[in-house]
Amino acid sequence: MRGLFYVFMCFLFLSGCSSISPWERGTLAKEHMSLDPSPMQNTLRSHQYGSREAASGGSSSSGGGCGCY
Amino acid sequence: MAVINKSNTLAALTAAALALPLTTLYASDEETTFQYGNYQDGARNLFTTQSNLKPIEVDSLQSSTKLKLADRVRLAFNYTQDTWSGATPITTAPLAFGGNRISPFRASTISGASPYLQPNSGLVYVDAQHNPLQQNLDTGAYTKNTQLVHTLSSASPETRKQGDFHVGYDWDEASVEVGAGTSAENDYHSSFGNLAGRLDFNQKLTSLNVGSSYTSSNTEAMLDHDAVPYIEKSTFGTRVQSLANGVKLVTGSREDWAGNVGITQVVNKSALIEGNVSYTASTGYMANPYKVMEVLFIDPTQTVDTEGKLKGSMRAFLEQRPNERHQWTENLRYVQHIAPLDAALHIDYRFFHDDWGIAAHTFSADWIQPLGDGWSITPRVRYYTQDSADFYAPYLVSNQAASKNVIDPVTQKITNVKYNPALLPKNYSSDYRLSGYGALSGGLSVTKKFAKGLELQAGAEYYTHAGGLKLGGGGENHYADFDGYLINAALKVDLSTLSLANSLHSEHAEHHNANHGTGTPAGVMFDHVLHYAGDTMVGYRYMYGNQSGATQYGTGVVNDSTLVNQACGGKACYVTPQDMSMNMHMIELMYAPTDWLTLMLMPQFMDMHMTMRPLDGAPAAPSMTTPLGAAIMHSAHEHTTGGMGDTGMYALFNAFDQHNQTITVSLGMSAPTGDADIKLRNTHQQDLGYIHYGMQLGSGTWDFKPAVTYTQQIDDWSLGAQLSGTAHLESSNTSGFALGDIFQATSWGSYHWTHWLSTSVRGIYTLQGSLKGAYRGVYHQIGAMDYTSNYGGQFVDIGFGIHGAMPSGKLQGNHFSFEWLQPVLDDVNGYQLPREGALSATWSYMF
Repeated sequence: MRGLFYVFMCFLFLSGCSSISPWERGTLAKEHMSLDPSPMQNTLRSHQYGSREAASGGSSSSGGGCGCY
Repeated sequence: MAVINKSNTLAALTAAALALPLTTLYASDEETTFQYGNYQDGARNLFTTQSNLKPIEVDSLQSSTKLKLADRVRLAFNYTQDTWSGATPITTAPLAFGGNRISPFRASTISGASPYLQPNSGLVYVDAQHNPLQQNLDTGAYTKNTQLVHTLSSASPETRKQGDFHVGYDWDEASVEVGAGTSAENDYHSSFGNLAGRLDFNQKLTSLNVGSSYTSSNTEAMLDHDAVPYIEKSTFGTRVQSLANGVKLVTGSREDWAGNVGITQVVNKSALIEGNVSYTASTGYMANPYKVMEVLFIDPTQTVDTEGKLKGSMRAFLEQRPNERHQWTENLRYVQHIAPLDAALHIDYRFFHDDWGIAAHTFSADWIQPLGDGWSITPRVRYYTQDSADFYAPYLVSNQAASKNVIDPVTQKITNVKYNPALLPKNYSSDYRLSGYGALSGGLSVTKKFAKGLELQAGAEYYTHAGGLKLGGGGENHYADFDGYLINAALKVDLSTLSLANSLHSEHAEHHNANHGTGTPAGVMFDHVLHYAGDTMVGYRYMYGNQSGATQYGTGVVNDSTLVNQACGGKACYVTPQDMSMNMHMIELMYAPTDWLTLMLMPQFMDMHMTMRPLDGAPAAPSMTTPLGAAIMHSAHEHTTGGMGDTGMYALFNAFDQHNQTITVSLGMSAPTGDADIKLRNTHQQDLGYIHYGMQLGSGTWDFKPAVTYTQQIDDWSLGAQLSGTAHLESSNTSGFALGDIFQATSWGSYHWTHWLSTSVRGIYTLQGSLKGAYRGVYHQIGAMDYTSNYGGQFVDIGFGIHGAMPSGKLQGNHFSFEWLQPVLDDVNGYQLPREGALSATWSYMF
């Protein structure tokens, strides 16, 4: 699975060679195309998953309490 | 001419598109968001018993504000408050051993345990293969029963508060951000800092993201009184400290270093992808201090009896986790635009693994479907699966005696020898979160975006955890299955859109300022209406109040001896409140459906804290094994509640509006959305029942709340007066009591130093009745605050306020006001703590 992941990452770099003109970027600029369109809701959901699952975290932003319940 | 215009427009759009990195385009630079969330666990399966302990519930309140300090400098600050209470598993044991027992209190119901970790003094029976044996209480016969069950333990309400900030600087093709914050709860404190950067290249179609963080955390957890006698502590050295009254404190500290690197790539004109790798190194105390591991000791020297039984002994140990953990996460996110529906499909995959033996996969998909007119709907599904940690087991079996008498062959002296800790594993945990399982969840969010940058969102998600959902099978037995749901509601205001609206409609905004910028003190509500159909106002109101000092009877101070003998309705008082504080957050949403009518919705969120002290001269507290004694002992802890309060719904109109004079009438109802049935957890194996009346979050009744307000403008002066009241429409709530009705009269004057700044002075008289009725159900009266006659009274305050309206710039039209209420007279009913003062702060924006 990890190998597949890194192959995908290489694909990312290669696909970066394509060019998209500024006037073709309208769709990408739509709000629901954002990588994280509801950051606060996601924070709440992540916090809940984090207190119920072992694989918490995974990003460099920090915080959160013990979740000792 | 038209050609030239088109060309200019295209050039402007092109410049704008090129100036923005598509990978981070969408986040508004200036916005403020409030969110309420509620998570509720479902009931656990205890098989032969049914728990009457409420499953755990978490109320979350979050606010976040992002501002631009300068053209390239961003500031964000966030506040989060979680309050939780209820029952969760403390450990796991064979059902045959009776880990959950019938409660001796709350007759007629069968209870989940207060933690009951060592039934029958630890003596249990197993067969020759060490399978648990259960006795049939009718026939006395033993049969094999391998079914496992959680033992539940309940917690009184606790609150966590977190504040953090980030400062960012943007270059044309890069950005850097630094942040820090702290999180505090009774038993756990953490502080953290982070640094992140972004570099855009390839015509801003590619972004490289890097980040790192450091977190330092400290645990200081008091072990459950009821569990302490049954927990083996000897193997934990200095980790467990003994304090007065038999209190055991678990202490530990940990450090987490994390780093991540990722690439965000525009794939084509309708797709985006991100890959991210992160690594976290953690050292220190990472166990959960409230989880224990059951160990079944079986003396290998014994032989089976005539029924084929072996004796075993169950002992409970605080869980032990490794002091080091290395975690890796690889994350892929893909966003695809679906042109025919103008929808966006978000697909995420995450692979997590660590050196504790846990590997986890997370798949999730969101479909964001705009529906037109600002509406959008997002169905989502998520699947999570994990392997168990190397040191996870529901319970342990150790082939040695827990303790046995050994006879010295020479001296014939009998010595009791305990188990050898070295024969136990180094690390062990029965925490279901470290078991192998899968979790499936699905939910729906609905978003409505109004004109001028206001957005409302509501969401719900159902979550189910099951061993049978583990990818590849082999998950934990179904005893550990549970479900839960999460709901949230959020309000977002895009401040940058507001400023744009201001510049386009400055005349309209001026009109609003003239009406709203009247210098009304922050503590006054219901003083104004919206003037035109379709107008909208959004506001946030914060109130803080504190009571402390020497307890009063009427207007006079009383000593401890008086309190002991007279404040508790003919019985003895044992403790008295020392300090009580309340934080209340209110969201104001106002909308005018017609020119003459304004509707207002006001949800509230609050948290309360109370500390108590023993009274000098109080009689000796009864034994901790009595309900009253346990309640008195528990008062040594701070009592806390928090969550959603009651929700107000109001209709306002101007009964008179001429010559700079207005009379505004407000008729409202308060819906009982706040809890009025919060209970303390069982402790010392005693049912402590309801918490003190004043700590409940809501009235529990439907309430009528009328108000009449008169305001007048004379040159630079604003004058106002208001009569308001609260009438509780039911004689009692479901818990058995009703709050006292309230009447309030207030009058103020404010002076406008400039067109955007005013100060105010206000006088307030409040009359509140004492509580009616009394709790129906278990509660223990240990101090004056537990008697309904010791609530309400007459109060006089003087308020000093300042009010500002942003006259120009990006925050034009935003109003801020603060008011401090200084008590002048407290004439309390019965015996109460005097008030120290109250702070009100408001922010509002009228569209």
